[in-house]
This record gives sequence, structure tokens and C-alpha cells, in this order.
Amino acid sequence: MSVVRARDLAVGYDGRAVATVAQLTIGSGDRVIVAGPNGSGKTTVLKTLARLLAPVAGTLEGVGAGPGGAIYVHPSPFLFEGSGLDNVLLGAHGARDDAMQALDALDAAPFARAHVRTMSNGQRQRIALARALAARPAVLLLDEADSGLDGDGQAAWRQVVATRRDIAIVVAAHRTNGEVPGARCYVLSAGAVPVLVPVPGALSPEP
Amino acid sequence: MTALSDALRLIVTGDADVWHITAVSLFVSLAALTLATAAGVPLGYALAHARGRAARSVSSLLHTLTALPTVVVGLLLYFTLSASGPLGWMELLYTRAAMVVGQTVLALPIVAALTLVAVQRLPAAAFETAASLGLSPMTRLVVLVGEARGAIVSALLLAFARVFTELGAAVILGGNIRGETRTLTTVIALEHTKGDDARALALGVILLAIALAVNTLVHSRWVRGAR
Amino acid sequence: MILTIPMTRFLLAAALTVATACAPPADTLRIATTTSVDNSGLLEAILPAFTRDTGYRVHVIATGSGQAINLGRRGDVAMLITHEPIGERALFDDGLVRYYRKFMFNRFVIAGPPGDPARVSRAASAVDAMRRIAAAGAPFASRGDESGTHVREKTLWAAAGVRPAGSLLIETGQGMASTLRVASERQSYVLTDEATLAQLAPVVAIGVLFMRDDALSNTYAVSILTTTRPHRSPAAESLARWLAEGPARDLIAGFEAGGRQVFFPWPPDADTLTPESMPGATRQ
Repeated sequence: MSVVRARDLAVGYDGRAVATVAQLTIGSGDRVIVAGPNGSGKTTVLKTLARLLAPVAGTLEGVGAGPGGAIYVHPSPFLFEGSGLDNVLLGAHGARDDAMQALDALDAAPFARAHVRTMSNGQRQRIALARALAARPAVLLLDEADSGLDGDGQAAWRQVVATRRDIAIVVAAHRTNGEVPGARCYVLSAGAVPVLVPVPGALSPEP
Repeated sequence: MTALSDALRLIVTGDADVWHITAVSLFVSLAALTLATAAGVPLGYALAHARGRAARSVSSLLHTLTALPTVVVGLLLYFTLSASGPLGWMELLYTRAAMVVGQTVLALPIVAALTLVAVQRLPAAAFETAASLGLSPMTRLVVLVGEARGAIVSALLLAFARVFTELGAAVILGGNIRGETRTLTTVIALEHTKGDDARALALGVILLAIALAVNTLVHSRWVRGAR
Repeated sequence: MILTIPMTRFLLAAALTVATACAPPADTLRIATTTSVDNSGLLEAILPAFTRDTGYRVHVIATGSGQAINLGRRGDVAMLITHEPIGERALFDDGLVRYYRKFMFNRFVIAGPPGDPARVSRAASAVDAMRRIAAAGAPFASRGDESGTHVREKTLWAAAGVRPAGSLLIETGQGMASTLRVASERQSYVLTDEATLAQLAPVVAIGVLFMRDDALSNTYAVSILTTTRPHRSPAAESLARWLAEGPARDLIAGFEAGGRQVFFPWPPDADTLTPESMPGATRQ
């Protein structure tokens, strides 16, 4: 069952395309890496898939933003004023069970009640990921959001990636790496308007 | 400076008149601020999201309205609330309620315009996160306004300072009635024309103290730290 | 994490605050009068007795005569106390008067600098005094605000056939106390009511130079117009009668400013129904 289907999708701002996606289908539980140099349009692609930006042209079908749909996480995640728990509860739309489960998945429960301004960067990222998880997404779009995790966070996150086959995960990265084992790799080609193409046959290596 | 010492004596001995007048001033301005906040914060927030020519026009109108002359507001509302005016049946003129209405009209543009600016200044990531998490419109308003609360609190304090120290609307709409609608500013103006300088000075000292306290609060670490 | 006061509680608090401040209860009465009456302290002194007798609380709006009459025409007040015969006559002409009685008078005096350069204290009449001021080229402070005092002053200039030239006539556009201060600063002559001058005597450098002329009588009337709302009428009539026909007479006579009686109850046999009448004119 696919959660995102894009065909001849042009993404950009104010009617101007900055990148295109020829063909991309993301199924439930898929793992996808979108790689490319800085400025190649990775963020624009992810935000469009997350329904935060309207497509410039082409077809995009699938889930919308919000709970049960597509959740986007910024490279340096924005946490709202309050405690970590407050933030995760926002993502869970008040459902305390979902919030606690998500915190446990990221091993963030011990420090969740602290105010976000007292947290280290690694802790902030864990809270942001927990918040996204708490919304029970169908697809998570992480804009390099797993790059700032500390040691414990990385371990917890790898566990999530490995076990949560109900969630599709799309990660934007500089290069294909081993963080998402078994992921399909796509690359944004160089050029004035980069095109996202699959790297055929390549699966992200197992650690 | 016997007038000054008389003034201090009036304050210190708790002259009932003086404290009643102070209470009326605070009541009217706080009520007006409450109403202006309830209406102005959501209005500023909504305008921060709106696009297009109409929204831009309303925004510049709001900014212009922050500088409304108080006597003009007083006069226009007077004709509206007068017994022979459209809202005369409400019998509001020359009551504290009329003064609250006048001061709300003065405070509302300030609250709305500064909320608009404060919300627009939030990082795009705040809006995007709220949208991506699929927060309901009400939750989004509460959360984003909360993010901007430092600047919004400053706006509220500024609005309060403006209405607390104004004279034009208060005297035209309140009628400066003894025991009912006399405020610090209206009585200072009145007492001076009557020749009672000691009382005018006493009230002036109180007015100044409160206005300074509010303005100090705006710049205080307590408020700035919350931004 | 977020605003500590939820929106609904805010709105509720706001609604309650406004509600508690709304229209006055039926036992209050709003009247308009002139600043000179209010400034003299007379009403503040005698109205509590009315409230004790009847239970009605009186809200007094003090403004200039012209505005007081306007408030009456608009129905924003239930009763008027005025001393402006021309405005009062206009109310009669417009058929707006339901009740009208003269009930007291006070006196204007001509005050001026101690040296009295225009020899006003030797004048034969008020009109003569004004003529002397103009002839001597002395400065004159005027309220210039269409108040009862100002209107009387203009009447006297008209009767005298002269006025001070140009900048010698200092129009302050303000109330009596402010105008007296200006007169004191500029050492000029001024037409004023006795009460205000008595109150300000300690702080001004001018004094009474001429008084006691019928032309300087300032007569006060109480009136209820047809614009008064029916549910306010009982209170308005109660106060009007109390002032014009009742216990107020003694209280008015007993009121002192600067140690002297400054308001005089209307003589019992004098005409009370004509705006232009003076205390000496008897009933027809």
C-alpha cells in the first residue's frame, strides 16, 4: 500500500521549480534516502512531499500533513516553549499514551519533563523525533534530523528504524550512508534544476 | 513647595477621594485592556497569516489607528452613545462602561498591530512544525501566540500605559462625574482649572508612579527574558 | 507552556467587568450644570441632603452653559441647572420645556488690580464701570467660552457701546478659576462670580472693585425638558421641586465661600417663570 506517489513532480516556490522528481513511490514501511549536495533542493522536495509546500507542477498523491499522515522534521528542529513532554503531547494531540510510548522509543522519558531550553542539542533532537512519532505518522520526512543525535539517541533511533515497519521513513542526507539500513537511495543530479533519480540497485548497506 | 508637601500628605494619609479616583482609573483601563486583548490578539494573529491586498490594507490601517487622537475617539463615541445617537438606548454615556469602550477602541489597534508584528517575526520553522503536526487552528493560535508572548506582553503593557494616561476620551465619555467617572487624568485637569493644585499634584504623582512602573516593566528582564 | 490564561476565562472576565460598569440603576439621576456652579462647591454641599431625603443619587455633569443645554436637548441628562437666559428662552421657543423655575441667584462682580487704574470703584453702574475700563485702555480678561459669565460680559460691553481694543481683551477660553489666574498674572480687570473669586483670593492679586447692580445678578433656573426619559422623570421632578420649592432654600442660604454667603435663594414673591427675569421683578 503506497503512502506517497509522485510523478513528474516539480517542486519550488512561487511557481518557480527548483527540482523535479520523475517518479517516486513510497510504500508503507519503506526506507528511502534522498541524497544530494547542499542547495540541490532536498529540503524543497521533502517539504513538498510533507504537504508544507504546494507542488509547482505534476502529480502528488497520498497522505496529507498531520496525524496519520506525513510529518516533517527540520534539520535543527523547532521546539515550542515548554517541557519536552509538552512538545510530545502536542504531537500526540493530547493522547498521553501515545506520547509516553514515543518518548520511550527514543529513550527520552528520563529528561522529557525538563524545559526545552535546558536540553542539549542531542536531547532536543530526540524530543523532536518523539514528537513526530507521537503523531502516528504514515511517513516521516527527516531533513537530516538524525544527524545531531548523541550516542544514546542514535541507538534508540536505529531501533525505531529497524522495528517500526508501520512507518515509512524518508531521510535527506548529504550522501548515502549506513544510518538507514536497507534504504532505497535517490540522488538529486547536478544541474540548474536537479532531478531526483534512483540509484539503481543500490541499497543502503547494512551496518 | 507647599503644594508638593500637601500632595504627599494626601497620598500618605490615604485620602478616600484620591484612592477612589485611582481605583476608577485602574478599573477602567484594566477592563479596556482585557477587552482589547481578547479581540486584538486573535485579530493580529489572523492578519499575520492573511495574504493579499485586503490583508495588507487592514494591516496598514491598524498601524495608522494606533495613533488615533484620544479626543477624536471620545467625540465620535460621544455622538454614537448619546441619547439621540444610534446607541443611545443603551444608556451608556457618562458611565464607566462608556470610558471602557473608548479606551478599548484606543488600545485595540496597538494590541492587534503589535501582535501581528510579533507573530510575523516567528521563525518559519514554528509555523511549519505546527502545520506538519496537523495542529487544530485553535491549538495553533494558542501555541504560536505563546511563542510570541514576550513581544505580546510588551504590547499589552504599552497599550495599558497609553489608555491609563489619556484624557480626551475619558473626560468626554465619562463626564468627570464626582464619585463615578473621575479618573486620575480627568481630575488633574479639573483640579488645576479649579485652583486646587495640591490635589492635582497628588494625583499627578500617583499617575506618574503607575505609568513609570508599567513602562519599567516593559523593559524589565522579567519581560525581556520571556522572549 | 502556553498562555497561562485560557481564552475563554479571559473573555468571561472581560464580559463581567463591562457588565458591572453598565447603565446606572433607576435610583440615580443625571443632571447637567455649569462649571461655575460645580466649582463653587454648592452642589457637593447640599445634594447629600437630597439623597438622604429621597434616596436618589445625583450624578453631576459640569460643563459650559452652552454644552449643558445641548445635553438637555439630546436627552443625555434628565435635568438642567443653568444661568443662561438666552439659551433658556430658546428652549421655551422650541417647546422643549416641561418644568422651569428660577430658584437662586448669585452676583457677578468686577474685579481688578489693587491700583484700579480705570477708577472702576467710583463707577455709577456696571455698564459705566465697563466703559471706564475701555476708556482707560486697561486690559480685561474674558472667559471667551460662551459660558453664562461670558454672555453677561458681552451684554455689558454691548450696553456700554465699547470694548477693549485688540489684544487688551484677553480671551482665555477656559473656566473661571483659570481666567482669574490669568487676570492676576496680567493685572487685568475681569468679570467673575463672587464664589470663585472668594475661593481663589489667597492665590490671586486682584480684588473686588465693583458690585451691587441688578445688571450683575446672575439668576439660576432648574428645568426639566421633554427629552427626559419617562423612567427618570420621578427623580428629576423630585430634585427640581426640592431645589425650587423646598428645603434647599435654607441650605443654599447657609452655604459659604470664603466666609461669605454667595448664593441667594430666589425671593418668594419674584417671578420664577421667565428666563430673563431678575430677582427684583415681581410676579405679574
